[in-house]
Amino acid sequence: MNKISLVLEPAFENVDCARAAIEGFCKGFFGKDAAGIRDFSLAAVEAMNNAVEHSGAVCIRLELAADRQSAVIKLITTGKKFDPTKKRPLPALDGKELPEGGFGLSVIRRLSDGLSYEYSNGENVLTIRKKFRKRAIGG
Amino acid sequence: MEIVMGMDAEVVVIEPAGDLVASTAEQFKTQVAKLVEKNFRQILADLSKIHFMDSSGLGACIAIHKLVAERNGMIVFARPGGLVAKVFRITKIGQKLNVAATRAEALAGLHAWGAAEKARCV
Repeated sequence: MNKISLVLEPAFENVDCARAAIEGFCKGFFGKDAAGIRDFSLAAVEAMNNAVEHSGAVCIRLELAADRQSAVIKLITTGKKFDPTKKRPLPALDGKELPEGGFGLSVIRRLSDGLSYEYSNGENVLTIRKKFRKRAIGG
Repeated sequence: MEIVMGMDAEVVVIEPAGDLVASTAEQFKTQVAKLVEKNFRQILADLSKIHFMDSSGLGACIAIHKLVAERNGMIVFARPGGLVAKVFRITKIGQKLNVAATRAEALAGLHAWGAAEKARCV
């Protein structure tokens, strides 16, 4: 299994940099599955955005790993305990006012193939797994 | 994010390019808010050059849709590409915004709406 780790200060601009790293890493393994890479990076971005906006964490740690058919990203934050795997409905769209937020967790769930969460030693650990269609190189 | 703007008769065509994400969403909202302040009421947002959009970008689209509607205007989001269309679809927001597959379709809708508004005000 190939791995990289990243540590970022919680800022949206840093999320953009982390996304570039995630996409670059995945392209090396699953370059033929451009849509899968895009979906995986969007799921990761949503999770990072939530951490930036809501967790109060002083840093966000990412551990990204890939094997022959899948990639896994672990997003580790201190800060407030929050379980994003708890099922929440999409924001209601039939009211008078369209909601402008609350969609991120649904996007993560829809675009990933596995999602798990644990909280231990004061750390939130969210794991997002994605299966890919084909390896681009090696095999 | 780069934003190119132009006019087609009374329709303002706004064409953002790049990523519509948490770090750029405010820029997009601000640009449209300036148009609304200047009383432009028919706006076409061509999203074909947005290659990556997250839920903050989606929130910006919803915010500007509401802003334009509050000023009795109309905004059409045209040519959403792969990921943008997917985010519209999975959040079901695509059913609530004015979305057009082509720029011609968006312009036709906006011109028709503008003509109807003029007729209503006469």
